[in-house]
Formats: sequence, structure tokens, C-alpha cells
Amino acid sequence: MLKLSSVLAAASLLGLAATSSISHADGVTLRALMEDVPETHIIEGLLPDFEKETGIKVEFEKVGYGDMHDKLVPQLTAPQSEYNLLEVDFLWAGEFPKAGWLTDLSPLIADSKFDTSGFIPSTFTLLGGTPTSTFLIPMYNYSMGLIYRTDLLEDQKLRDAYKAQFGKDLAVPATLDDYVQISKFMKANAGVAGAAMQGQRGDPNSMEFSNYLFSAGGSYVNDKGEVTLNSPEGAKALALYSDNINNGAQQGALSATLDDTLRLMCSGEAFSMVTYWWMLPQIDNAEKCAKVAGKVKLATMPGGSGESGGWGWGIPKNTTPEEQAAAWKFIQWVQSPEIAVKRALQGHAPVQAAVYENADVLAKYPYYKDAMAIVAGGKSFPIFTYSAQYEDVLGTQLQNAAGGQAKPEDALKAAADGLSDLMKK
Amino acid sequence: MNWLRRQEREWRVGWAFALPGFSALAIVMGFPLVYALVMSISSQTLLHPQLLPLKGVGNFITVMSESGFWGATWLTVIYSVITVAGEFVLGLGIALMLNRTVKMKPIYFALLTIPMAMSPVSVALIWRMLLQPNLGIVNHVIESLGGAPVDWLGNASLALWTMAGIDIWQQVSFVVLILAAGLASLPRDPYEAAEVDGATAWQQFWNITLPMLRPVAMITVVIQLINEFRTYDLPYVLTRGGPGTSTEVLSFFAYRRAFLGLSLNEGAAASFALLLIVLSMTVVFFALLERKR
Amino acid sequence: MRHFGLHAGLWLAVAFIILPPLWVLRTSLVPENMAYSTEIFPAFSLENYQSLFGQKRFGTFYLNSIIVAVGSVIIALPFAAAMGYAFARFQTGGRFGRFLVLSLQMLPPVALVLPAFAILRSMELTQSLTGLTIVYAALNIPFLAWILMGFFEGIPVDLEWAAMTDGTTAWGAFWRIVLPVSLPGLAAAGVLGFILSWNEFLFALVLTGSKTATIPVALASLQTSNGIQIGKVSAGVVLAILPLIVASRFIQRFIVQGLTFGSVK
Repeated sequence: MLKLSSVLAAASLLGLAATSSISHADGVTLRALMEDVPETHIIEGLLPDFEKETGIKVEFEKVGYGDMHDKLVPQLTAPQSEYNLLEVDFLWAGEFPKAGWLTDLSPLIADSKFDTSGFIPSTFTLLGGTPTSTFLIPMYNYSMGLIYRTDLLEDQKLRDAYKAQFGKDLAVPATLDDYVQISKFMKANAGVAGAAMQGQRGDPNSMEFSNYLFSAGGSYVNDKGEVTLNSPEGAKALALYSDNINNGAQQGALSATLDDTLRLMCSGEAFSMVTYWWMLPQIDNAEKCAKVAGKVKLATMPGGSGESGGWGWGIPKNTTPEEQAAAWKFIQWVQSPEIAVKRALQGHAPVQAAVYENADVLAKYPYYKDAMAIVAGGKSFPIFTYSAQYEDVLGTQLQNAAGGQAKPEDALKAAADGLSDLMKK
Repeated sequence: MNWLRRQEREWRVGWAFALPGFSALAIVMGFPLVYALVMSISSQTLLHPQLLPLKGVGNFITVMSESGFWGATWLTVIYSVITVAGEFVLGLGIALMLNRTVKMKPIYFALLTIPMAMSPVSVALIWRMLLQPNLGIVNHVIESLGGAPVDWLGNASLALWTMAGIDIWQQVSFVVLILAAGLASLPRDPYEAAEVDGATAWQQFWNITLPMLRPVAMITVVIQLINEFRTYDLPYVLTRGGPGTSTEVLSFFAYRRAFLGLSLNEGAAASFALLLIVLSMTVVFFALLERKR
Repeated sequence: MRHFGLHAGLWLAVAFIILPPLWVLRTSLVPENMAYSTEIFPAFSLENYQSLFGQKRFGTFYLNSIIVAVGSVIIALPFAAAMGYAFARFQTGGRFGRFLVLSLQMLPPVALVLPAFAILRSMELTQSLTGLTIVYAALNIPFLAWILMGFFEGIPVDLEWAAMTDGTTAWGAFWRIVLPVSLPGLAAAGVLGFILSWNEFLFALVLTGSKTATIPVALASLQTSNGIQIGKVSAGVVLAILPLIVASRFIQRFIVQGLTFGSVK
């Protein structure tokens, strides 16, 4: 027994000693855990330029969204993090600073005179930026809008039938009521799902519902921080959401994720989809989605406000000063106007107004004009310490209401109560 | 005197065999286990990384007084019973058939172990693809046979059964493997004697095979019960616990607490609560079976 | 006639088991965007496999998984066999002991992941295959011990008594008489341990890095925000199954051997 404990003690001492020498003096390598999406690949392509300029090597470890949080947490709670550059989702923008895992970037911004005025304000507030503290610099955004089929709107038979039934012209919906009405109509008459909806519990349906909520004029919290979800607008949003899921959406919507809705839209089996605006190039793609390429367009969520989301760059506290300096250099470089334009030309979703208005970018992607309106007008899901958990709570209630396991009033109340409980924690 | 010494010798010999294993477990699993136990009575969350103040059974009470906890527990019990029963009956049947054949055995074996070879995450992803309500092949086949497409995972009353079916599909090959090996190790003599006495196949099965297979069968059932009770990957990939809470099993509940709720202490408490429940189930199960003997 | 019924039954079982994987194989060999097509075989393409080995460096993950799985079994089996034998023959630790060991198996991995990470971190073993192998070996021991205990209990004690009366030690009896007879059990346990390690996800996720990831982690990363690349997942699954098909042919031989040994005297 004695021998055992001394062996263990020796091992841990050795380990501790070794740990403190992880950061080698010569040459910092930046290691970041990144989501495996096109945005990351675009930046990866530009990394050699950064290395040439600064001599700093950058390594991206790419994983799926679902695994990122689980991989980051052990590193951020350890004495030293192996990831010295962070890609942080807006949903964690409340949790990470609260837990004390991120360095405050305001002194760095002030010292290096990094110009943050070029960023679209909503992208900053999304990441929890305040006048006094900034923990995250916007990386790219994923605001949501409406992608719809132009050919179905122009189909004469459908137009006549719609006019006959509702006395209005069939057109891009202007209000949420219009949208759900058209969606149900399409399902009944056009042989396609009116809306490809991602109803799976958690991130999928919470994100989608947020669009309905904001579009109906509702909100999660007001400026004073009080929960305002349980309101007439909220009830209306939930009613329309349930109606659409049950009567306009594809079968099995309650188990569908982004992947399912994307494939559905791509195969031509859906009229519309409330989704991230940068999905448009994926769908309007002759190679991948031959059936619908050239027949889809992007619009702001009927009602004017969709759900906004985005990723930001951060620097963990538990790294060496050299690593932090290197990380800051990288962030400045990757979000500089020139690099931002380079990224945009490959399909990046910008966070700076100037990039949306850049002539070369607009020449290549004319719909970026619409996209900027979507990003600027987007509202966000409540950002606080337990945002991720709230997605799950809200998601459960949404499914209960839509599936009929709970009365809509009760589900809405439970969702509102869930939010206030979590905010009080 | 002789008898006492033999008892003592046996005791020592037994421990000589078991000690290496116990030590290995103590060293590698001991610390995490103790730490997790301490965590479950502490205040440690991802936001409040200190263990103190100790909360005693506070976390357990918090966790267990949530309606979600008992709902999840009950769901898990039902789920485990369904899946283990299904796996065992199917598995035993297949193993018996396999035991009787001589030709092509390697081929059957190789084919049967395929589902077991897949990780639960892969199984879930594959079946999600097969059961996709609009584009999946299963509904397509059903429709071409004249039926209506089924909402496998989006229907709250069906989702759990769908998940159970997928689980059974995967685990049955494990049960087959163990039971087949067990059947293969059984001595031939009793069978030969029974043949001489004129016993039918069924009689042989009921009176010879089953009793002799009992240890292996019981272990298989216990192990499978334990595995099924801990099911986590399937609901995570297939439904995230939905629709509503119809597939929120206990393991998933604990995960939510720890990783989403950031409450490591409550997640640990939920895990230990799970452990206690499974342990009691197992002990009761064994006690009942011992009594029957 | 009975033969026919038997084979028919087996064929039905095999069909039930194997049709889904066959569909997976088919999906892995068509281009990604046609993965969901309902035609049996719209087009042949090796792009999924090429992408996995090229861009996704699947070869490395494959090797990692093999090293970790084989290593953990080799380490765990001796401990587990000895412990299982002690439980079966000597009732070592009594009821309490064996249930204590089993209870380690019952804990959801979630509870142990972060403490395990903390320890391995302090020993500089995170993001390494060694650390993961040790953890898997420890995770396997209780499970394997119980399975082997079941097998040992099923073997009549007479053989060992006979040997010990002749003067053999307990260890000798174990080594020379019990183990050969229980080869089917050992083989089964070994394969099981291999599979458990091969498919484990949560510990691998937390304890490995980009170069040391195992197959389940690599497969999970194919669930991108732009969609689950089901064609590549299918290809990954096919590749992941191959070693086990090989392994099962291997144990088949042991089980046949077990049959001939099982006929006592």
C-alpha cells in the first residue's frame, strides 16, 4: 500500500512538472478546435499566407458541432488548454465568460488600435459585447431567412387556385400568417411539403421557432431582462408554428434536423425552408441540387425579423502570454477587411458591412444585398449562461405543443417559466 | 483440521487469482470513481469549480425530485425490459439453430456479427437514413407495397418502440455470440444419454440445454440489462430525447444535467442514482433466481 | 427436411440482420448527393472512400482504433480471466465483491469522463493512445470477468478436483485444464472486449486529439452543420466493420475446438 501511494505521488509530481513545460519557448503553434463547415475550409485555404507573413503556424482540428462543446470544456477547465485559439458559438457567449474561461479582449483592442467599427452592430451584441468588455470578436454569422421556390409561385395553375381560394395573389409572404397559409396551400395543392421544417428537439426547433416568434412581433426577454415569451404574440407564434408543422410541413418533421430539411429542399420536395441564409448557394447549385437550381430565392423572414446567430473568436485564459499574443495577431489578420473580402469571395458570411457592399463580392453573389438586411435586422435567442440548456427546454415544450401532448397555453407557459428559472440560476 | 486448512487455502488461492484484477481496477478506475462520488455530494459545477460547500445528499434530492427524473427512470426500465426480452428470445433461437448446423457456420457467424461490429453512433446514423420519413428506403418499400409511410421517429408514441427495435437489431448478434459459445461448451454426454432414453428434441432442450445454459444465460441477461439501462448514443443521435420526452432515458437525462446544465454535481448525482437503481435491479434479479433453484 | 427448416430459419435471421448493412454498403458506393436516391444502384463511385482516406485521413484513425482495441483486450483478458475464475470457483469477495466490480460497469460513462481526463492530464497522457488504451482495459475488465465467470461456472468442477487430488496446484488446474476447455469463452470475451473498445465514443472524444482520434470520433465529425454526409458515414461504417468480420472467422475456429474438447473423456 505504501509503495503504491508513493508511486502515484511521484507520477503526479512528474506529470505536473511536465505540464508546466508544455509551452515551448521556440515558436508558438496556434491550435484551434473548429467546426467542420465550409467557413473553416475557406480560412484553412488562406492559412499559408498567414504563416508566411508572421511565421506562426496554425492547426485546425475540425469536428462536428455536437462534439465541440464536449471537447472544449475539459480543456478550458484544465490548468492549461491545448487549444490556444477558440471558435465560440454565440450560444456559449454567456457561459464561457461567466465561467472565467476567456480573456477580456478590450485591452488588446485598445492597445493594437483594432478598428471594431466596421462590424455590423448586431453581430457584436450577439456575442455579448458591451462597451466595457469584449470577449469575442465576430467571425461569421448565420442569420436565418426564408428560402422559397420561385417556380411554384409563378405556376399559373397554382396562382389561379390560390386566388380562387383566398382572393389574394400568390406572392412572397409579407406576414407570418400569409406564410403559413401559403405553406399549407402548397402542401394541399402542389404535391410538395409547404415547408421543410426541422422539428427535432433542441437546437433545430428552437432556432426555427425563434423566427416565428420574432416575425409575430414577440420576444423572449425585454430590455429590462424580464421574460416576455408568454404573451399574445408568443401564443400566436406558437399557434402558427404548430399549424405549419402539422399541416404544412413534411411528414416526420418532429424528428427532422437541418440535414433532412436540406435534402428535402434540394430534391424539390418542399416549397420553402426557414433556414440559415448561406444555405442558398448550397441549394441553388446545379451540380448538387439539379432539381431546384435557379428556382430558389432568399427573402427576409416574413415580418422583418429572423433569428440571428454567429460565431466569434476568443482567447482562452489558461494559455501562455506568448500564445495569447499569437492568437490576437491571428484574429486581427483573419477579420481584417482584406482577408474578409477574400473569404467572402469564396462564400464566407461576412460580419462587416463593407464586405457586403464590396463591388467584387456583389458581382459574384448578387443576393448578398438581401443577406445584409437579414443580418442587420436579426434578433437573437437569449444569450446567457444556460442558453444551450434552454434550447433543450424550449425544444421539449415546442414538441409537446406540436405533437398534442400539451395544450399550447401550458407549453408556452412552461417554456417561459423554464427561461426565467434558468435566468435566475 | 484438514477441512479448515483447505478452506483457508482456498480463500487465499481465490484472492491470489482475483487480486491482480482488483488492483488494476482500483488504480485506474478508483480515483475517477471516488472523485465522481465526491462530485455528486459537492457544489461543483462548470461555473463554480470548487467542491465546497458539500451538499451531502442535496444534489440527489434535487435531481430525484424533478418529475423528469422519475419519468426518465420509468422509461428506462420499460425500454430495458423490452429490448433485453427481444434480444434474448431472438438470440437464443438463432443460437440454437446455429448450434445444430455444421455447414456454412463460419459464414453465418461472420454475417451475424456485423451489427455488433458497428458503433452505436453508426447504427443510429444508418437507421436514421433508412427510416427517413420522406426519402428513406424503408418507407419507400412500404409505399411501393401499398402501405402508408410511417413517421418512425417523429411520432411520440412510436419513437421509443422504433428505438427499441433498432437496439434489438444491433444487440441480438451479441447475444447470439455468447449463447452460441455457451452452447458449444456444453458436454455431449447428457444428450447422448437422453437420445438413448428416447427424449424428444423439445424435452432435451427444456430439461438439458436450458438448465446447463443457465449460468451463461443469466449473465447475458444481466449484462444486457445493464447495457440497455445505460443507453445513450441512440436517443442522442435519433431524437435528442424527443418527441417531447418520449425517448428521454436516464442516461440522457444525466448527460443533459452535466454537459448542458453545466451542473457536474447534479449530473454525477443522477449517474449514481442510475447506478443504485441498476444495482438493486440486478441484486433482486439474482436473488429471485437463486431462490428458484 | 429438418435441415431445410433449419437453414430457412437461419436465412431469415441473416436477412433481417444483413439487409440494413447491405444498404449501407450500397450507399457507400454511390456519389454523396445520390445517397438518398431510392434506386438500387444509380451510379457507382468510389468518391466516399477516396475522400475518407485522402482528405479525412481515415487510415490514421483506423490504425489508432486497432491499436487501442487490441491493446486493451490483451491487457484486460488475463486480469479478467483470473478474477472470473476466482469468482466462479472460490466465491472470492462473496456477493459484495462481484457486484462491486460489476457496478463499475453500470455507471454511465458521463460520470467518469471528466475525472478521468483530469488524471490523465496530470500524467500527460491525454491526446495519446496509451492513455486511452489503459482506460479501455480498465473499462473492459469487469465486463469480461463476469462473462468468463459465467463460462467457468458452466464447466463441471470434476476435472479440476481430479487434477488437484493428483497433486496439481490450483494454478496448474486453471492453466492446463480449465483454460483450454473455456477457449470459446475466452475468444468470445476477447472479441467482445475488442468491440467495446472499437466502438466506444465518449472517452475517445475527450481523451484524443486530432492525430490520435479513433473511428467513432472520426465518424461523428462527419455530421456537419451542412448535413450528415451519409455517403461517407456509410463508407466509414463499412471500413469499421471489416476487422470484426475477420475477427469472427478467427474465433469460429476456437469455438469448434471447444466442441471437441467439450466431449469429456
